[in-house]
Amino acid sequence: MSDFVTVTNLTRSFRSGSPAVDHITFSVRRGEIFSLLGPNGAGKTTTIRLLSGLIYPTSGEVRILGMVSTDSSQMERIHNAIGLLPEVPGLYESLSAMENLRFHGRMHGLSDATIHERARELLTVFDIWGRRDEKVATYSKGMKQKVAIVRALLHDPECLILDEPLSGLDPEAAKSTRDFLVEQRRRGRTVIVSTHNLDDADRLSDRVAVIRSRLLALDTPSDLKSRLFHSRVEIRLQNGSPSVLDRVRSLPGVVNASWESPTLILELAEPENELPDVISALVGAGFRLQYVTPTEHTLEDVYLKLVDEARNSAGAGS
Amino acid sequence: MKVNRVRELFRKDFAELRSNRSVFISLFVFPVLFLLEGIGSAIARSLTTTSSHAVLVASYISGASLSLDLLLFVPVITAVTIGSNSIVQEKTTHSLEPLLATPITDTELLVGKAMTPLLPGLIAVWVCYTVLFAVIDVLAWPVTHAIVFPTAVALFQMWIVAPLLGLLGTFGVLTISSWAKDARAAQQMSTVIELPAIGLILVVFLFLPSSWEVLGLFAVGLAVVSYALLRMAIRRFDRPSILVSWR
Repeated sequence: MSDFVTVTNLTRSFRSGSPAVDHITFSVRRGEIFSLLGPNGAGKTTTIRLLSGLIYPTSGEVRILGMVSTDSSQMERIHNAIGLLPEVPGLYESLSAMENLRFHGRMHGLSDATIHERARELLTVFDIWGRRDEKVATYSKGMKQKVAIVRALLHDPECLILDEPLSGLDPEAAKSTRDFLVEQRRRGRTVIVSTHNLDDADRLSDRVAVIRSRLLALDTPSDLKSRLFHSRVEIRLQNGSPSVLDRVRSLPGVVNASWESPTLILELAEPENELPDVISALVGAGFRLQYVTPTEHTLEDVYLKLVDEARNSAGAGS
Repeated sequence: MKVNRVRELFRKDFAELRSNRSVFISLFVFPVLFLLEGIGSAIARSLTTTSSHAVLVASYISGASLSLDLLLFVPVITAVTIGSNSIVQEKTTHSLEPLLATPITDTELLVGKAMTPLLPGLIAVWVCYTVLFAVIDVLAWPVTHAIVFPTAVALFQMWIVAPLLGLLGTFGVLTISSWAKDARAAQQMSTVIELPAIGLILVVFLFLPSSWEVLGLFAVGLAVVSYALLRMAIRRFDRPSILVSWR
């Protein structure tokens, strides 16, 4: 897979305070869903704007399809290659959805027939086609968000850059939007998403970048989890007691053990190898096992650990 | 520069303007008032009797001149009223970001944004001048049996001075927009544009002796300043800073 976006030592400072984005380097491959995670003020929106070529870096560079984002001679190609959903939908409220889409389509050089066809296809997916001629001001927050997503897709860009795409959507709409994004990836589109919703990021993303001005981590969700946490197994015992901890802590491969009655929680270095020995030892010691459940750390655990570590190291440094 | 993008931006801005009825209707208040002043003055003159055609023609011309001069305020007032909100509104409603994500260039954006403040005021002036010319000619015809208006000076005001004043107001507002640190400052500073422009109109048309030299110098001055403002607006227009720093 070739890279769609390459970011090298990207820094963006504003007049006051420390850089919003500080020496970030990463690349986004064609046809992947790439999520940017980070707390409020971590520089996600600034990064999105830098990736979209809307603002320029203080230092470092962004290359989109090999073109430098600050190259004004390539601006038209860059903007046609990207479909942007900003943090706020930013629709013209006194115009209808169709008028909004017609305006943006024409700005991208689309013919009216193409705009109509694309708008019909996309608005139908989001169930707004029937209300296309109503003023946007009469729409709910979720409907506005859907129209803004359609606007980002209207000119058939190779890459979608979406800032909080599921914000304001009800569960059903959020599900259809998630499915829609997965479908876009299947069609070979690159999707870059900034989100606070870690569950969505976990389910959707091929890779995630956790940022807090600086890049804290970048990997697939599963690799991040296994890199930061050991595998966890919960064993529910019928006749358990805290004394079981003495029995299991001495076993090889057990990194951590805790007791939450009636469940024994173990962290194992390599569960495939060590779990049979653990089970044998427990059975041998007379414990009766009801369930053995491998549990995964969530992306939220990963995120909180990374952000907490970053906060602590920043605190220690200051 | 792609003309179709400029045209689309104008269409969109004008559709938004039209949807705001109170603002749209308020644009016609001054032109209608100034026009009514001219028509009233013409009717008053038509009721007076004089033996000399020349005196009557001169009387119609001098009677209409105040109205014609006052109508020159309209493109400036309209440009400032609409123009000061043009970019500011895109920013405050968060529509600037998706707009800038389209392939529009700075020049296309500024020229497109200049159309809506410029054209309604100009069209209002042209319509009012035409109506006033027709009313005066109809009223004067039974006595003068001659066309009183348009005079050469009136045509010069209509086709040269009014557009230049509109351009001055529009480019002035856009320059201020590109300089302003925030939306409110842009709106407030824009109103300052009106004062020197209106003062200039008063001095040139009400206090200076009416001559082609004065009018020509005035027109050339307006053209030079308008062009300088346009260049300055394009050079100073910094979309990233508007996007990031305006609140």
